Amino acid sequence: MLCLGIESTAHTFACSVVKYSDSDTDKSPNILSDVRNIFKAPDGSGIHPREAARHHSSVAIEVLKQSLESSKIKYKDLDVVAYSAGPGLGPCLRIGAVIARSISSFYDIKLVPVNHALGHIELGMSLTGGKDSLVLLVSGGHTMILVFNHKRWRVIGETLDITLGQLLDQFGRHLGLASPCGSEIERLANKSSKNYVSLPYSIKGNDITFSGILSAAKRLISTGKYTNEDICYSIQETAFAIITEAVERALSATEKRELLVVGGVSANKDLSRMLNLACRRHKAKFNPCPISFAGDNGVQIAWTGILSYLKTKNFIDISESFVNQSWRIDTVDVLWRE
Amino acid sequence: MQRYIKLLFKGAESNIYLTKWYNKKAISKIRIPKSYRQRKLDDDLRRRRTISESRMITMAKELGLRTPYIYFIDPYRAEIVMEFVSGKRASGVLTSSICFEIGKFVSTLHLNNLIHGDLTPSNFIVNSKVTMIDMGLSFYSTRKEDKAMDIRLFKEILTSTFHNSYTEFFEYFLNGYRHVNSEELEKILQRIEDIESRKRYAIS
Repeated sequence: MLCLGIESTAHTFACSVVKYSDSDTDKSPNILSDVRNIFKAPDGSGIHPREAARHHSSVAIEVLKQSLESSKIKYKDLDVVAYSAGPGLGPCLRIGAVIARSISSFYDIKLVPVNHALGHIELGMSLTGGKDSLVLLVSGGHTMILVFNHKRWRVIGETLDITLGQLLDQFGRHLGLASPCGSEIERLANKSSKNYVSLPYSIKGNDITFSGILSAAKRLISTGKYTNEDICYSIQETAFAIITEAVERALSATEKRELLVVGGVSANKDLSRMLNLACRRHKAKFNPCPISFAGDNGVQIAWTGILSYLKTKNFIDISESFVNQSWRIDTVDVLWRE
Repeated sequence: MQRYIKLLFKGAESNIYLTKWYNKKAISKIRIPKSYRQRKLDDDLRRRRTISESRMITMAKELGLRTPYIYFIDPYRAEIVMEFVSGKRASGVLTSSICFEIGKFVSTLHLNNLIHGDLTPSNFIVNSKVTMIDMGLSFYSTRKEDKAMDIRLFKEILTSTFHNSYTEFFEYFLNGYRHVNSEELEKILQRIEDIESRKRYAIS
């Protein structure tokens, strides 16, 4: 079975062809192509939905063409076209959906909507060989701790305001960096003299909030008493400690023996180091998603499209196809998982 | 310094030891240093939480709630020595009547402006009665928002781990809450909806 996955929730427009055959004993995705093109915002500003959508529509055809050419697959060989239907930025989602609908109707291929967050998790699970994992999803759009329970990924803790990615991006923007700022903040933090400045440490049960850190950090910058490097270092230390503590609580409460970490921010080495230490204490296996698939990509959409179509024959008519900017993962039934 | 007989339990942030306090069976709760946390941040958090937890447990006791007696605290070692309470964790044996009891506990706390902060069934011990054992994240607040957070967390835990009996359990919990103080509950429940609509990708 061949599936084309189209990802366009935020800054990334990506297409990927993934092959699945029943004989695959390890049930891992056979990735035939993985082409991405990322919208780069100007320095000091974030992703403007309209600008990102404009970028996507201008690169879409080229990305699509490349992904089919490099996979050596023709449109008519495809069985399924899957697209990310949400959650994400409306204008961006619509670009992906329009392309998916066009291919589906012109070549008469089954159309499958995929939840973007579910895509991150399902691809991460199969790449790391996870069986019964606690999942930490950290990106610009999500900061959630989840477990699988009775047909759905259930949220046991999440951010109550901004996400970890947003904290880093918004602070980075304040310093005049270009979004996404995570890697630049990590670089600045590594250069710092490790002079820790106290920032609000807020954890509410299993839920967390980051907006206090953001306001306090901006205020500290304006006093001019601290270097940008030290503030970056303190933000990372505080925010990551909060996340790690929430994960530790969840590990202890659910007694899971695996932790899967997915999403763009999982590429941060400092966060990985801290989560790894917490896992060790709870004798849990630390399974970070391979860095090349941590951020948004088309493979996650194609792979989840395959799983969804195989087990449920769940496809939709074009007239019923949709995008949903606020499609929460805990409302999606996952019928292929026991 | 007292001797630790046995490590009973490794919680998320502390180790729980069985110990003796003047020949009496007791529990020693030590918040262990977290190697992943910045040293200054870690020392600060552990010390602050140790002091605040023992204070909160004592305050709850003064309200007539069943909590362990605090025998001794050492903020710099982040240690609390307290009464040993036998029984099972409520999370393993949860029933509607236990949820009712927990509801009564929380309502009494809230009536006196104490917020539990980590309201999960595993923080209650059940024998013939229900005892609240962990108040590590508790604090004082008059805000409805904070009270709503307590109830929301309990609801979240029920939906994620007891999805089959979630509706019944939560109903009993609310009944227990109403039993002590029904005045504020409607407003607090309203506030929960408010908080939930603020979550990422919530449809309001």
